[in-house]
Amino acid sequence: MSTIFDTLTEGIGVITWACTLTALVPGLALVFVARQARLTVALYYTAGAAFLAWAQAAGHWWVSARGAAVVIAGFVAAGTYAAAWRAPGHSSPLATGAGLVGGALAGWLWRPCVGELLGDILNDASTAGPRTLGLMLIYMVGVLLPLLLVAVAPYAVPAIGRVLDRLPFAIAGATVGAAYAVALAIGKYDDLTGEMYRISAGY
Amino acid sequence: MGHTLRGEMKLSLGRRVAAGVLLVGVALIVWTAVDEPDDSPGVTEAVDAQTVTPQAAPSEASPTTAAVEAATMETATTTTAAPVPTTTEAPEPIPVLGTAFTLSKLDGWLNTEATSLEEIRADNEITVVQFWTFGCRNCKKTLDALAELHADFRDRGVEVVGVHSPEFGYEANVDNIIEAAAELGVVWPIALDTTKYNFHVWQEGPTGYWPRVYVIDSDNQIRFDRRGDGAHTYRELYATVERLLAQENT
Repeated sequence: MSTIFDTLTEGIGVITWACTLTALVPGLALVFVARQARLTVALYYTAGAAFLAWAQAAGHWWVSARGAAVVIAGFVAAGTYAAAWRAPGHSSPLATGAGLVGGALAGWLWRPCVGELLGDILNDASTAGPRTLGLMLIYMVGVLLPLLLVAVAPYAVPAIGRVLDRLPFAIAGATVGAAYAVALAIGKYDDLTGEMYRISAGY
Repeated sequence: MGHTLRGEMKLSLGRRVAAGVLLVGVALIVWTAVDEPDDSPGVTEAVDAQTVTPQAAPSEASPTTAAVEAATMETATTTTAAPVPTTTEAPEPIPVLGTAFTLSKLDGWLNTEATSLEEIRADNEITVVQFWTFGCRNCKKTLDALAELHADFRDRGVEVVGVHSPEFGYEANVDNIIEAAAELGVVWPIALDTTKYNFHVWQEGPTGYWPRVYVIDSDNQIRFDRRGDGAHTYRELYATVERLLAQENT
């Protein structure tokens, strides 16, 4: 129980770190875009990101996020935002697909700065599959907690939902999503995130 | 009427659950933000901590971990004044995890006159290779432990090599690396892996991680390979180096 809680809080503890923002920001944008299916998108995004991050460490996924694969990823990312925008409701396959594929993309591109418990998960991923997959999911819930809270908030406070339903929020999400997709497609994703981090770190 | 009431109650329950999730989530974020523990004790401090808790539960991790922990316990007992029952159980051998790669296509070296990993290996029994980058917070958390290891073993045939593989563009700037290394107290050799060529060659698979640390013995075999900044990882590293050194000298 303590391991689960510690794993969750280690994930929460790195929310503002640059290595985490590369997974969190595209997810938040996707949730803003998916006005009719925020929770579905958020949940599947988290699951997709956790699965791909784990699969890479466990040796079940061998496609490197380099070269032509990243260009293709840019187009796939654009597709997830389009699907999320068009998703008519929670049960829509568009919502499920956008969340799952968007999350998997984030998990694939994620280059984590590895802390103590994430290190243990990654070190043991190939030998303790189900346990480490579960812990990775918990870690990812921590990392992506802001995104999940944005998705849950309208259920707790309907007024928040009415605000988030406004078009400017969806357009802001779509703009971030477009920048993310274009940066990937032209191979400038690392430069973009690096520049943001450089500015915030004061170098 | 009854149907509406049931619907409202359901809605109310759902709303309460959502509100609970929201409150707990926000509370966890706030709590984590104000209560960030410093979990990077120096190696000696960590070994001392084990001395007073010799009954620590055995790890269920890899054989390497178990063997190293056994060695750490052995080390700890030598510093304890109270008599400790001796054990006849020999520690498990440190496994060979494969042959180490070389470092190639580098942009140069800092803090050393050596120009290759082979030169450093030729002058030492054991080489500790860590992939890091100065902007990575988890890497920074390991530097105290590495500094201690470097200070304790540099005259005994152990060298630490920090392979600096930048994650972001500004971390590739050599002036920034020199400035950061001085600021962070990194006095051991730094290999400039600006293109991350070695980062990807050494870390097989689709992705690489910061930090990741290896121990290479005199036969160029990898004897330790761990990801992450865990204090226990660096305790294991220290103990592994100590054990390997003892083996090399017998």
